[in-house]
Amino acid sequence: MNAIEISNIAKKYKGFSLGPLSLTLPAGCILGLIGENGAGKTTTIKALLGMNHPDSGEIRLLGQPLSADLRNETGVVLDEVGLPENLRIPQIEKIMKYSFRNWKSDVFAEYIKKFNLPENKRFRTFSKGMKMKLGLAIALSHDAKLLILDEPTAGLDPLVREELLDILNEFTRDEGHAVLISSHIVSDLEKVCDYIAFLHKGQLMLCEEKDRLLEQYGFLQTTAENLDALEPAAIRGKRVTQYGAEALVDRKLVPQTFDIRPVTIEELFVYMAKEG
Amino acid sequence: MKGLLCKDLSGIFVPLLVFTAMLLAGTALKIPYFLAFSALMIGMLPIDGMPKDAVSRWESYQLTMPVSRFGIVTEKYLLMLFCTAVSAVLLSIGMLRFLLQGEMSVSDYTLWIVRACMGGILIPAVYFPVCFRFGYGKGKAVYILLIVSFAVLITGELAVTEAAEAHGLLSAKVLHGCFPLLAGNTAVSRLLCMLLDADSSQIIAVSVSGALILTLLSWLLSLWGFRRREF
Repeated sequence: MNAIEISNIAKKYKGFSLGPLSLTLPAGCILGLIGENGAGKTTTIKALLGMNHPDSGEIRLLGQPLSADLRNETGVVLDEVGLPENLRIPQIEKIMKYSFRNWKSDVFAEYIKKFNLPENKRFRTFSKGMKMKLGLAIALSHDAKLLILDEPTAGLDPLVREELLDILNEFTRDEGHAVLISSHIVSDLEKVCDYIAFLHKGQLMLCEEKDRLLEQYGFLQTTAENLDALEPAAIRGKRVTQYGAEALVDRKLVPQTFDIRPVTIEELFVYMAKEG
Repeated sequence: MKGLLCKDLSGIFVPLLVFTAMLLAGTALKIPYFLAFSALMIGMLPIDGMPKDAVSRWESYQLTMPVSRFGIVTEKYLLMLFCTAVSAVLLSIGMLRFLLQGEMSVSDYTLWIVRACMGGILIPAVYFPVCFRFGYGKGKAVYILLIVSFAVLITGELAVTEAAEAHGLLSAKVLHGCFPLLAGNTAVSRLLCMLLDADSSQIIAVSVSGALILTLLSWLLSLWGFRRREF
């Protein structure tokens, strides 16, 4: 079963249009959504959550069309966790207990303990990291099968980010679980994602298995003349300076005599976005 | 919806206690203004939650929970009705003293309660649809406009009452004297004269049914607006 199926969704705003965009996330996998500011990541996520209304296309989560009831099976962490600021954790838990059909108080309590969150402080006094952790604890405490995380690592220190990535890895050990995560911190996504989707100016540039991308593309440092001699289709992005040339290349289309080093997802994105 | 109600009720708990204390103080000190003001404020407590929801981003966060847009809108109206009921009950208890001591007639007693409750319904009923459709920013402008209109109405009503007392005239005649623009055989002036000259039971009947119709229309408009709203 696919956890996410997006078919040809499109959304037009003044000065920006998203799509038509199609992508699929199989269950048991983590999909990283990468894109520059304003690329359409949040618009895509909001469409998945029914927060905006796409002009066309269809969205199915966990094999079902969007509905309020389906949100019992999805856990969401938005870039800003919008919980009532004057409430404390026990009061917030009560709200969630009344809201989610499968709310697990014991699981929630474990996460609160694990994340070291203070139960007697009001939410507004929490740091950005603590707010994010609480949002994550809520998302993980109601038996969600699909996690949708919009910039969850933004503003978090490296230790907390590492902790979050471990949790996501643990979550997807269950083959019925899946995660969609968007982030600017591409190195984080590289660590955990099975699939990578690049959004650029509202268009999906690619959506591929991460390993296949890393296998297919390489990074070539050479002279501008050597680069010109290559088949144009081999070059997916380049940068030529007075000191030499760097290019993102398709390994299959480049002669083996060239020394191609492995590429990172971040380089892949930056070069492709520049070319796009 | 249960979760949303739980959230909103915990949000209004403290102000509810404060206004209840104020209302009781009004009874003890025999200050009807305290009573009416507290009752009105209790009725308007659901409004207080909207800016907080917008600032904390709860507005969009709640859409990640298993509750439909219908549920989100309906919950606010249930809260409004709950607060109006609490306000009516507290005010009836608070004003019982004036009634039992013969300082107030039964019709005045009922009118006070109905008026305070209507204030609590009228403002949210106009404010909610704007807030649900356009967000708190525009809702705030409408809220300020409503408060100003309310103040003008109350001031106008006081002027009419004072003039009526001073001249010993019938209220409809006074109305024409105080608001010349409303004089003449217009629909508005006829309606206002009818209301001013009506007895308390007629006013209560008109107010209650008007409030019910207004609430229903407001709820439908909010549903329509919120279903179209994007975050």
